[in-house]
Amino acid sequence: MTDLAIDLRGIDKVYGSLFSRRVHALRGIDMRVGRGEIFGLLGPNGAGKSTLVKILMTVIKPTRATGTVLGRGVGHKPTLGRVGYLPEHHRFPDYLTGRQVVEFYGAMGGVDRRDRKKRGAELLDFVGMSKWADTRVRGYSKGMRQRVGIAQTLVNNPDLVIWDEPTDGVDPVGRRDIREMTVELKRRGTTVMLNSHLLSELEMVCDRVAILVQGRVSSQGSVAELTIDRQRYEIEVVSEDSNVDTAVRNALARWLTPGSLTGTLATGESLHVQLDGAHAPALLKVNSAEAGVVQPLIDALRSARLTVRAVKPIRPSLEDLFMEAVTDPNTGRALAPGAKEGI
Amino acid sequence: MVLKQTMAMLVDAYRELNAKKMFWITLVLSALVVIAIACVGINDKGISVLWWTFPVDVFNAKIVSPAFFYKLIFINFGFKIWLTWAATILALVSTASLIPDFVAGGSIDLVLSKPIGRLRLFLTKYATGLLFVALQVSVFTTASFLVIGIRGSVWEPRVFLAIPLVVLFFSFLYCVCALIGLRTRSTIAALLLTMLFWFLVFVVHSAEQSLLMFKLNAEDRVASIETKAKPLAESIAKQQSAIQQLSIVPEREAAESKLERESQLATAQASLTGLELRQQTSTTNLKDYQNSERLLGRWYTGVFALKTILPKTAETMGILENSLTSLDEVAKLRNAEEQRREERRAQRRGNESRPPSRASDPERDSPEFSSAVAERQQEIIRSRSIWWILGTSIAFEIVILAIACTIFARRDF
Repeated sequence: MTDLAIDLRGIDKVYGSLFSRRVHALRGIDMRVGRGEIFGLLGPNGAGKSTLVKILMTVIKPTRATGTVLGRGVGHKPTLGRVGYLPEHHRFPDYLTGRQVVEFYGAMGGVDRRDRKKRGAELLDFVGMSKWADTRVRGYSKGMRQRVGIAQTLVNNPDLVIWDEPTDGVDPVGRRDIREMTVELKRRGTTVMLNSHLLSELEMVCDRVAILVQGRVSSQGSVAELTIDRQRYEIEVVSEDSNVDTAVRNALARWLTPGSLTGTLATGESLHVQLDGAHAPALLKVNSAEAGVVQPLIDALRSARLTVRAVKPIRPSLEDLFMEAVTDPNTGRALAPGAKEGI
Repeated sequence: MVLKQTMAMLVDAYRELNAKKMFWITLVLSALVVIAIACVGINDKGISVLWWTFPVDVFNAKIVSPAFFYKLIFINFGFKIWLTWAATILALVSTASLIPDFVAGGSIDLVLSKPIGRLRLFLTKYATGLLFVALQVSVFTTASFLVIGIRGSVWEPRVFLAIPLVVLFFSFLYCVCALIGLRTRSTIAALLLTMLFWFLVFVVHSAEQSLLMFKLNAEDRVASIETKAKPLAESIAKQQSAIQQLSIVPEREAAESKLERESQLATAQASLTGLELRQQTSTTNLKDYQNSERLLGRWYTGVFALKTILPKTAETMGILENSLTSLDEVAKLRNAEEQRREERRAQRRGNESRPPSRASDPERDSPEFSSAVAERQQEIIRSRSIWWILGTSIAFEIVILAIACTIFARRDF
């Protein structure tokens, strides 16, 4: 058995036909999700996240797809009996109660009557809906529907759950509960794929993420892996009695390029100095996550009688990564939302 | 797993119907219709409603047996009016939203993501749409069976044929409703266009029936004229021969004889002219009727071909009528009506003593003539096989469902 829950290669989706406007929604998606991990799928509106998830769940037919879900080819219907899916903007029949919703979708997933009755009660308790289990869905708030939605994804005891915007319309307490449920599922060995706009939520729970931009995977990996090249140290220095500008330039002269505020350390990392006047604090940025790399700099600054006020390791957030991914490097502006038209 | 999923969808369909007020309203109305039928009775004087009796000459227990009477009431009011029209419209209103709601965003994703094939999913959902009618008609038919049994003193199990027939009849319309609902995802569009389709089926059916009547009428006229043409020709030949004989002038003819001969000749020539005029009129009429027959035949063939493609809603319901009522019983009732009509006509003639108009064709307008054509029309309609009626209708439904299944299986939701 492969250790990948999802292994996708070259997923393509073109909407439209010869006689209508054609939109290339997905352009060769390659993505891997390990078993038992929490995987976050992010991207701006129209990037193709929901299309990709719907292809996995056979709601949309791919134009081209190779790869596997739980070891079987994409689109293999019986495998869906081992998957739980919560679509975005889901709509449950409003004449059913929460318990009936869980049991109905359990039956559709092939769960035995006795099991779905037993698990239905357990899951409604798990999502905090026991008290409202026999109330019709039409009387539920958005958050309550979301909780019942989560419960129905788990009724078949799935190996993989895919939640599309699970915290949509949920209050902070509910969001925390859902986060805890996600972690609990991981603890039980279930693979969780989350599709969300709430980057801070994803950052807290996801082992790995993929960022989709205009139908392509822009970057993929753990947050640490994705940010390793962007991690840096920042050193803030001041001087009690002399001109900071001159003192910093003199202290760092051996690394700085003459006449410039940038340079390279002996170990190859780049150095950038930001000076804001003779008496304002100076800021040094070293492109490295290693503490040892900045030690010679600190020594040199102290030797020049400068006061080191702060040394901070800086790690970019998921939001920084996301914003970088959705920014056009040529214009510095955010890319237009939506998929590209044409082939 | 297949059974679990099918059962789950059936239970869900029942819950959905249960939640709809229209289901219960229709059921209550069905109960009222059955009660109304039970309140009507027949006795030697005529028809009774509760404790009032309305004298009817042709409709009393002397002519019609209570069993036949209740069957007729069930067929003509319970079946043809209530189940075929009113309850079907209510059922369409109730079920038109099933497919559009089923394929709505956020709803379809949940079921398509389950381990069930699209084809089976759609067909099961379609079948659950027929549940509304199946439940309604089952309740109504059972109640009617009891009423016919208790009030008409005949336990007629063939009444239960109404269940599959009404479900089939409804399915011919519901497949169109499902296809439109799937294509447009709009309940209103599905409902209105299905009603329009039903109206089209009705128009085609009525046109076919009318054209058949006109065609048979023209055929009868042609046959009648052709039958009379031979004696007429013989009469003309006879007259011509007589004239020829009378035209021969004897060698010695008395003045009196001459006068008599000339008088006979003039009479014979006048008679011949009259006969020739009749023959000419008859030939002109024959040509007209033959042209009409050909034209009506062509129109009838076209409309009949169209009808063959479309579902036969009226004939499907007619199967139950044919099954429940025998031709003898119908003939008996028709004879009684004819007899009554004849008596009234005789009474009117006695009162008015007016000569019939010369402009009218007495044979053509005669009740015997139109009655014979109507009987032939009924014979033709009744002779259409169940396999033709149901086979072509089910073939239509299969084609519509195949189109709907193809759309459902290929669509991105």
